[in-house]
Amino acid sequence: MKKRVFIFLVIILSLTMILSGCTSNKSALEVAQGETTNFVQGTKPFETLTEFVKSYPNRTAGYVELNGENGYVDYSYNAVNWISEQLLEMGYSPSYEEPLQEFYYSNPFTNKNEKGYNAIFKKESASDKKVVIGAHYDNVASLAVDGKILGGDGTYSSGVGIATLIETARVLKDKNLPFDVEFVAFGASEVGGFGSMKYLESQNKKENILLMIDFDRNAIGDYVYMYSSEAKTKHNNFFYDIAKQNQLYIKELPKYMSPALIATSAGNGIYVNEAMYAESDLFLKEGINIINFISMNFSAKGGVCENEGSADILYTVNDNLDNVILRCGGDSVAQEVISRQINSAISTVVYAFENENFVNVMQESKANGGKDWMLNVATVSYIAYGILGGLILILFVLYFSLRKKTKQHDVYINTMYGRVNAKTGQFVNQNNEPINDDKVASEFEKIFKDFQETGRVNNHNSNDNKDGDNINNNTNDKDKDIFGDY
Amino acid sequence: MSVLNEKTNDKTRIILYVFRTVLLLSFFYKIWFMAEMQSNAFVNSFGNIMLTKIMVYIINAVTAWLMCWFATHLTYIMISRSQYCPINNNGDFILSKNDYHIIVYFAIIISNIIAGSLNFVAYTVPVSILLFVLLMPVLMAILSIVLIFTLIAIKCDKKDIKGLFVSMAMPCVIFLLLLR
Repeated sequence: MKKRVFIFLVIILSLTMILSGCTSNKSALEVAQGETTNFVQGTKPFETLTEFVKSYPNRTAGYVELNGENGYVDYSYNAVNWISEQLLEMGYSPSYEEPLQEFYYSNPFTNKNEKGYNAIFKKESASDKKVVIGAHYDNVASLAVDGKILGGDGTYSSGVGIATLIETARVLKDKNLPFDVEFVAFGASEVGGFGSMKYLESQNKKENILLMIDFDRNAIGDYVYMYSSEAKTKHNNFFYDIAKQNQLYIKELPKYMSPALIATSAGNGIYVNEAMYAESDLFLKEGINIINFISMNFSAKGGVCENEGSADILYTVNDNLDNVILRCGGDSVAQEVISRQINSAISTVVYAFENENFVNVMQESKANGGKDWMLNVATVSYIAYGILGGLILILFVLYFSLRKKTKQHDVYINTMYGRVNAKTGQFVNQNNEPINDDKVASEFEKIFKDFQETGRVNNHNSNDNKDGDNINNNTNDKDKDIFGDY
Repeated sequence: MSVLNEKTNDKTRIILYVFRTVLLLSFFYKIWFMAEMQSNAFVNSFGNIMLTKIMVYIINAVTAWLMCWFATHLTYIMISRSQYCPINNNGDFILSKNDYHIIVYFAIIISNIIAGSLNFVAYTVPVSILLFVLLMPVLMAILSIVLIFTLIAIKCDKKDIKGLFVSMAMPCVIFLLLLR
């Protein structure tokens, strides 16, 4: 009996492990069991993440709800206010008069003009150069497409990003850096990237931005990557060198593969697309160096996904902390995995900032490795259609200049008796030999007269030749004929 | 006029049918990179991924093939009715309609195969997507035109080359606009 109970329990346990996504944890655990790392001290990423997503599980931009005596509650406002308080408590000062940058945007989900907020805080230096560290705080908890709710509490997108932002700020608080650092929590990101758009619009001196670091979905996936551009860049190499030197859990990007290649069966397409689907993308388009920390599996067999074999977190109800803990196999494992991934990102940033070559590398590096023109649709279109238009122009010029110098061949008119040389008026047979035949003389005379009057004749296939006389009866045809140059 | 120059035989007709079919297949090969990108962009537009992919391939390749076929017909009319085109003893354009079609199809098949093969490069070279999607069709149209002109010029006397160029100038514009 005991044996049966034991077997039953083993089966139940196995099924539970399988159903809870144990397979997808494997690679996450592999990350956790790495070599000795050199993490910065004094962070508490998992605690910050838990507090944030548990306190504000609904941070949907533009989502306002009537909440009893409190009246209307803007959940995204409460969330950004909490972030703002955290940064104020650390001693950071707002970049502007108010801690929150307010902006208005047209929400495509509600079709209304909504108010959004960015929290912007700074760490000042004597330099006019600055580094922007950002993460979006909103989620899709209340957004639905075709009646299907898109998300949970947004632990992955991007509770982990906000936790990393706050903990990075905590570590950098007492550091002396030769450049300003601006911490930005972007709002209204999931509904169209409006927070980063408004932030960039408010920047008068974008050329002073050395680098934009984006924490978006930077934990929970199998591996953490640092993406900068399709092209190889100096600043990306610099950050990877820092990560390697300190044995941090940052994985090399896979060999470049075109977005055309990967099938989307796993749901997320190719890594370049995923990595660019972040706040940093707008900065990159402005030619600003970016480092985007993103945790996924870019080399999974089934295509790009969060964990090997599964791409079921982003924009699903599975994107909540309880589910993540379950997938990881428990609270302690989840805490370990998430903390290591977040600490890897924080440590890479801090060590990079402390490196004496940081400013020089950032100034020398180009956002797209100097190949911005190749990524610009307008530029490439101008080149392609410029070549096309130029060639067409050349062909026209050559045609009109050469046709005067080129000998024309004779044009013959076919009749039922033979052919007439339309230039000389000579009546010829099929071998273009002259024919002296009285029977055809009248026919020839008729055709030639017509030709002289109208300037052209018709051929056998012409609709005009229904009467079978081979004569063009329609004088307007001359104007209509765009194909013949005679 | 040479529009009526329909001297043809079974062998030519068979070759023409074969080339016409191969041309269509070559367009499938040529557009695969762009079609894959479009498939990824549309994903489930036709119900499922595979159907979307098939539809994207068919729409792109068949459209390109039809445009090519139309351009070939149109340009033959233009060239054969030109006063400058090379003519035979009968005063007709030296190429029959079928011969001309075979030459054009052959040239375009060659450039399509080259274009389709170059797409593999786009898979491994970063920052090259736009170049391959926007610039390559134009360059391949130019290559096709050069091939067509060369193949026809081979059949002409040297003294007729200038006339061939004049008669083909406007048809080349048509090719540039319609070959994709």
